[in-house]
Amino acid sequence: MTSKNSFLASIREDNKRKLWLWLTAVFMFVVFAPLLFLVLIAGVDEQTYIMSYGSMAHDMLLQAVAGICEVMLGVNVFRLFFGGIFAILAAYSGFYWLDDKIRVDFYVSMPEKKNRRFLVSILDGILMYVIPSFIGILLSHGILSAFGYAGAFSAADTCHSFFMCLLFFIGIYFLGILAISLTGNVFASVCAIAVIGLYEFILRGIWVGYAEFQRYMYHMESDLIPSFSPWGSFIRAVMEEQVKGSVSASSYIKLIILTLVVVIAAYFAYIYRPMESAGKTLAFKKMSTPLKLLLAIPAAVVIGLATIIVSDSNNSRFQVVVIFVVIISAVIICAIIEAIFELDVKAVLAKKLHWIITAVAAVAIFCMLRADVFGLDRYVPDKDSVESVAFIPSNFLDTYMFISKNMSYMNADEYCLENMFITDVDSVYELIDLSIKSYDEDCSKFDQEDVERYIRYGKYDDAVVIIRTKSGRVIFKNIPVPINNDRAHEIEDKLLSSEEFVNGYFSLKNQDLDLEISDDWNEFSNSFTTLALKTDEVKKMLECYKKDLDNFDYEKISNEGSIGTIYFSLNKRTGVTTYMRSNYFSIYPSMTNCVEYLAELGYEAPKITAKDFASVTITYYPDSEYDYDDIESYYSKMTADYDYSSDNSKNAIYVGEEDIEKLLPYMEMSDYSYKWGKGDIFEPAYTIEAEVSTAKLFEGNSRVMTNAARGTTIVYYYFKKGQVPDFVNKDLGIE
Amino acid sequence: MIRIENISKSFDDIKAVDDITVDIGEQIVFGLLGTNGAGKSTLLRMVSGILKPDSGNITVDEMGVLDNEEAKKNMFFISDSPYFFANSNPIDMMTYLSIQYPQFDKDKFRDYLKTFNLPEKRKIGTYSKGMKRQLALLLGICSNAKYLLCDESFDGLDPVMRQGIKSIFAKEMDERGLTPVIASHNLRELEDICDHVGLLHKGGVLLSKDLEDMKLNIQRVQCVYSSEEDESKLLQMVEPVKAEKMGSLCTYTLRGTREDVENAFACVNTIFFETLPLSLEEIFISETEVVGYDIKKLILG
Repeated sequence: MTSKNSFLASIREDNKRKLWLWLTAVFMFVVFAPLLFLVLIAGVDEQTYIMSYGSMAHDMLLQAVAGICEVMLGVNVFRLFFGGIFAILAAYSGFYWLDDKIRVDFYVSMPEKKNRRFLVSILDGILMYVIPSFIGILLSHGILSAFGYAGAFSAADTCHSFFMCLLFFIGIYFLGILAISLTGNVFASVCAIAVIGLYEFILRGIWVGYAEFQRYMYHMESDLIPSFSPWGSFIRAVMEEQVKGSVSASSYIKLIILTLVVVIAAYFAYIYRPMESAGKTLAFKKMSTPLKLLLAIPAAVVIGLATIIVSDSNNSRFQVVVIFVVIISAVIICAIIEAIFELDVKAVLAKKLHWIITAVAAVAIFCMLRADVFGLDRYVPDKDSVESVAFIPSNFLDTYMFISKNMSYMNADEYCLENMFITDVDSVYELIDLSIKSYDEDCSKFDQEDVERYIRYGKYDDAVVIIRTKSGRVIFKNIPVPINNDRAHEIEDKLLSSEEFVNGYFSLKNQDLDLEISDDWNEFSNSFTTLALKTDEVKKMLECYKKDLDNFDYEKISNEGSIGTIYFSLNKRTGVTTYMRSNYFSIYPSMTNCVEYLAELGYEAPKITAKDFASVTITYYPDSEYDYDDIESYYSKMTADYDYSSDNSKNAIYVGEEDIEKLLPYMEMSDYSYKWGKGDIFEPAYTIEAEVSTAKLFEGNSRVMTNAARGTTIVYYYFKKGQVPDFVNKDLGIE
Repeated sequence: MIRIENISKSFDDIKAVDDITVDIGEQIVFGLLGTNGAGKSTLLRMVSGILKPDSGNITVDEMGVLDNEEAKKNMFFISDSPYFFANSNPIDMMTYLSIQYPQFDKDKFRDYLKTFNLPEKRKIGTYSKGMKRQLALLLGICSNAKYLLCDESFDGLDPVMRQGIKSIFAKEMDERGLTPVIASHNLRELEDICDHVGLLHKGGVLLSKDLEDMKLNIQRVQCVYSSEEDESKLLQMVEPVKAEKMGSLCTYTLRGTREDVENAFACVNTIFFETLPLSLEEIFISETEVVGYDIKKLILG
């Protein structure tokens, strides 16, 4: 009992000396956050919503309130930022005495076990976060109730976000304690926090930079997010929640385990810290050399990779310069680290052997990465070990919005990683094989790496392939699929027409049609006309689209231009809150269900005549036209004496009805952009701007309006590949 | 008893304490003398359980000190720059220390504050350097820890305060067996307060002796011989640590008890013979000269 009492007394006494931190916590979590919440909630004006959204006002208002709750009470960057800052402050407040000899003498000489002193300090820090933030949350819920929005953010969501934020706080708090325990002064502690927190991020940056310079490697945006740091794991868990609607048990467990690892590491660093290290840079002297190398080598490599990215140069001569930059960086970083370790500027010239080791290692790693010594660029796992693949044709952006089942927007790669499981591994591997062979062969013709870019843009369509092995590994490849290769076409036709692809690629195919359609913005439109749609019509259209996707035929659709796009929004209700997610999809002539339903709604394809246009301006950009088979001469011209300031484009303007009449058969509306087409469908060097006649403003029936009537008076067209009429070239002065 | 056995401690390449073996008995005032950098603070910090020795063993009442709550309850360490909480007053410090030292005597502390004229509600930050040292000493004394380890704590205290603290030491030693261990680089600071002195130099112990023993075993004598033969005869019997001659007056510092010395002089004829008291400084000069050091260079400045 005495011990317990003395423990509580110790906590009380310890807290007395952290009054400033208590005040900070109270200000941040009990005053500032609820006050900001109050201001934001009070700012949601019902009348404004009624005037702006009519019948949707209530839903929109609740959505706005829910959005505020998400920011202020949910798991998000705002809360993470404040939680993280407070965690670092709490760690510093609890353990900064370790950096001061006088305080060390005082505290360590006290008859108190290290364990207990540690426990008292950490408990104080945690209480300082938990109590004020809990009170702040209660106050915020009180504010919600007072404004009649009780339930806008559920108790379960509150508990979940509180727990997540607490885990994050503990992770960062102990990371701070770990950093302080490993170092002996404030500057070193701050550096250590940055190093421990960002080290994996830097290593991942090297990996991403490395992948960036390879021909066939691919990385997702999320590849940069650390897996083994509290903040990285936390962000990953938050991303998972956004996509799947909840954090999986495995992510929770991972987050908890990682937090525990940081806690244990901090504890042992504290316990075994030599007390004479107060005031020095490093608590454990033996760490200095390995630490210096572990910091300086990756830093020098990163600078090398960054130099290439910033300079945007990739030729072999420049690589020599970059190697020189890596060497200089290695030496400078080594010298700076040594000066920091010794707290003496003169130490920059000490331990020159470390300069050599660092420079040699950094250059070796840099060269290995650039030369892909381990062959990772071309590596694909053994076919027999593959369970499934996802094939993402990056240029076929038919639906730009990938929406998860939880109604979160996703990147294509994230969505397909979750949803596409193609089992025809043989076909994918054959495509990978022939693509790599073709591209390697093309590239071998040139000695300048920069030329590759032109080749890749012109002769290939990139596709991302995600390979999942039976052992659970996931390998990403970025494959340039040759446009003019019949076998590649055959394989793509087969893959993209498969049910596995359609189900895994078209997020709307998996969308629950019982979802509410918002009546905020629903329409079918193309460059010329717009057809406003009611919510039940959108729903019916979605049903038709799903049916058409059941019969999705890639070969057919690749030769079609879209006839227009359906824009719509889905509503997702969570408790009393409604979230709106905008989306769209294109309709092609072969999508018979959709086309028939459009006709049912009164839509007719616009019959464009010469009378519809006041003028047509054709512009020719000679630099946009080049022969990929003679790409090197083009590249030489572009890099040698090309004057970028000069405008060598040519114009031809057609105003007469007769002249425009002659042009019309060759003009392809940009809407009909053949998104599923293979390679360039249009002539890239020609643009056509058609100014709509004022007479067109008054056309249209009750449902289908011309875009001109809505203020759009310029319509863009292209010439199809190889279909530029001779008289146009003559008018443009092209021989 | 504090038992220090073969203790060594290095900081990077510097050997701060080199294989020291010393016993610190109970109910004595132990003076730890040495120049700056001799290893006094390092030794005290190791005894207090702050620093871990590279080798050797330290026990306090047969208990190891490192992270040992029970052993540390018997010790109170006052560093050369005593630490007080920011914006605290003596009562705040007392409150904290009474949690750490359950035997802390709050009443006695308040009484001492009054005795030494230290305002209990005034912020310690506004105290003078000497007042802070007094306060640190009073906190240590009132913690009722058996061993009070003072690192240069008496340096800068005025004679009145020194006398006051000395009286308290005497009282506490008598009442509860307090054992102050006082490190100082100045022999004169310790002269009137210590019972036993350990002299550190370059991380090692030059000597460790009771002052009484030292005083008993070294004598200073002034005499005038009846003849030169008597002088020669005496110098054949004794070997002076130090000998001076001014005219016919001879002054010797001689090793041995008073009785031994008087017996030796009884064998020769003297016109005048007198034994004189030795200062601690003189004793140390003699003692360190024996081991080949010049104490003036070490601790007398």
